[in-house]
Amino acid sequence: MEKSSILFLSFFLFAILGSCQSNKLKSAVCDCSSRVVQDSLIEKYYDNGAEKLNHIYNNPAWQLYCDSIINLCPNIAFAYRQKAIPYIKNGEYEKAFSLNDRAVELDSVGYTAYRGFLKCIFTKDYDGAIIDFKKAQQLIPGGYEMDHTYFFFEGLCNLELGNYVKAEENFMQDIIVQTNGDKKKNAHFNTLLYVGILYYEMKNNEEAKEYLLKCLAEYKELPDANYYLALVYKNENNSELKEKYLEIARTTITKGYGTNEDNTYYVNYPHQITLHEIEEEIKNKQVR
Amino acid sequence: MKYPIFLTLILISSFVNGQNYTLVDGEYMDTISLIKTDCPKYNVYYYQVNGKYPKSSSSLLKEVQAFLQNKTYSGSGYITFRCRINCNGKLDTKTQVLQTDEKYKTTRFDKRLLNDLFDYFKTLDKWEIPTNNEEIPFSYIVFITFKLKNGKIINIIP
Repeated sequence: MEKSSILFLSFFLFAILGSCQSNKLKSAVCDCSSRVVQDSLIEKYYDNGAEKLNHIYNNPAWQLYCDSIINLCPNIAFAYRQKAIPYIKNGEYEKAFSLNDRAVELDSVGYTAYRGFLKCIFTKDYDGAIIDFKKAQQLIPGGYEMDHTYFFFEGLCNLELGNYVKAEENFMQDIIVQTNGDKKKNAHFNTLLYVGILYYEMKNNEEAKEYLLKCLAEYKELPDANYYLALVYKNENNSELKEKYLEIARTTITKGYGTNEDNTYYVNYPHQITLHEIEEEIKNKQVR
Repeated sequence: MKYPIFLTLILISSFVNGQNYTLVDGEYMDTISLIKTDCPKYNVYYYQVNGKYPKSSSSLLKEVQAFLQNKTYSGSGYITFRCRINCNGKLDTKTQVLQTDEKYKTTRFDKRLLNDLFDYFKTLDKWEIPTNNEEIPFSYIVFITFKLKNGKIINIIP
């Protein structure tokens, strides 16, 4: 018993000394506060490592490349964000958010909006996402994340929470940022879609139609816009136009058209529909 | 002779009480594995085969709310069931359960809630059946997450 205790303590001491030595070595080799050092680690282990895995995030090598960066310089926020990608996609939210929280701690300017995006789109944590986007707005006024303004995501969150007045305000700010206030320019078709959906939810049929038709002028095959336009016509007891747009929605979704956002492979966007909802609505011939 | 009887009793007791099983790689709702040997098994998720469940989150939400009727539960956060879908489009392997609170920290929900949600999860029967280059169907990994607020299901992921 005594011998095994001594052996265990010796091993423990050896492990500590070894770790101290390697830490000394690390600090001798890596000046982790240097941007040049950080960039060179990202280039070596991410650009020429993880990135070469062709987006197969579940390859164990993905974690090894990210861990290599973190082990050498634990202050590189980018490595935590990238390490979390498979976890968020695979439903492992504890791991995903502990890593993204670390990224935000290390670089709030760079990663607060991204975390808000994950909460808004992936975990449908709309209250949490609004907090992140409001903070991000202070850090980078008029900023963008995943091709959309922070206002857009705040608008989505407020729409889903039923805060329609706030959502309207957010989407109008989004449109102003996108168009620089030029009313001749059209905003992104997904902004137009969601403004149309917002007015549909508010039972404001005229404005719902206006925005959904504007959206369809930009992307006429978008099944969601056709579907919600059909629902507006349903509200107006216009069965002819309701059926027309439902049929377009069914045809286009069957041909493979859909919401043009990268992450729809992983999650449904707010209010996103599938062929199932269109067919259910077609079956339901009764006009409200 | 004693052991089979003992194991059977444990299994029966587990089903009745909704006991979860903690294995090396996580916590599971069951230990049943119905792997079809003729079913190619790739380590891919639904999103790699365009296999998101073919109903919107709001349709699934309405379904689960109707399934649970007016039963009352408690707690807020996320409950995720993750398993493999076989080449017949059916749940294939033991189902992992992941539970976090609203702040994404590990928590444990009432077993009755887990069991009821798992019963609903098992009713999902419209999973895609993807095929490989040789037109042979294969199995893949899926998950469904239930978002809860004060015991009520308020959203479904994906």
